[in-house]
Amino acid sequence: MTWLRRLRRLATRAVADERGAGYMAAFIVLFGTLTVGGVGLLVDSARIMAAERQTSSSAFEAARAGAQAVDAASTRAGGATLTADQAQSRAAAAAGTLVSGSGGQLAGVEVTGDKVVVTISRSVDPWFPVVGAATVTETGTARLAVGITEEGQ
Amino acid sequence: MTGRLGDDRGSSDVAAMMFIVPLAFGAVMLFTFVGRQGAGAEGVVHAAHVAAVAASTERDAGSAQAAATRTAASTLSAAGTACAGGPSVSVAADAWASGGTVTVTVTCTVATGDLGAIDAPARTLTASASAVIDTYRGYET
Repeated sequence: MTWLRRLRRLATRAVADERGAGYMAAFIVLFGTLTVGGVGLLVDSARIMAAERQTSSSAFEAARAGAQAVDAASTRAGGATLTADQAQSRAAAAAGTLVSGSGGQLAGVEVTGDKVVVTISRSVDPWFPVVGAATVTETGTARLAVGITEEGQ
Repeated sequence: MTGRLGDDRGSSDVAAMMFIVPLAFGAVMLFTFVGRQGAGAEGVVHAAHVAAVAASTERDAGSAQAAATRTAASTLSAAGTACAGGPSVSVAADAWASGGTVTVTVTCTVATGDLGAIDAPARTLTASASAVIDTYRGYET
């Protein structure tokens, strides 16, 4: 029993003892700041990465929609080509539909030969003051490929 | 023995250790939780995109739903994101015809069973992605 009393006395002393309290306070402040900083870094970088993924997905899909503007006459002649202005307008229209509601903006559509390149940018505001505001710019490329079981056939 | 117990030297360190160790452990679990949510959110966005592409190349609404569900599930499991009860996938299209837009929404409740020590809440992640339905393809309505 005296053993239990001693343990209790030790516990009381450990709680009532104020030596080192400044050190403890400094530790708690530092630990708290680092924890919040670490969580902020993880959360905001994940949000930026998810925004990048989503933006590149929209850009890729818009480019794919544009690359389907095949010129009918050239297809009948045997070598399918894109109708440039139609590819441009289809990609732009698709991009407009795909980014609506996500806060993204169409930065440009470029049609070169049988290739459509769509660029979409979007800004991400961080929730924690660890990483700065990021502007995500992603490009999606789609190319007209003609073939039956493989390209060129 | 009495001298040792009555001694004040080092008692603050013992209290500090009793305090610091669980705190550090909790912080590690918190980082794991947040990191897993972030990776899971990215995986769900990616799965939604892949499922939307899969749905956009099908010929009717029923097979689009089946393709999207299959693709989203296999993408998430390949990325290592465990959804409690599996991901739920819904497919909607403004028109099942060429030039229409198909939208796939993937919902995943990230498993947090092993983080019970910090009472991690089960969070549900949702992402949707759209794709334009193939122009040169026949559709049944």
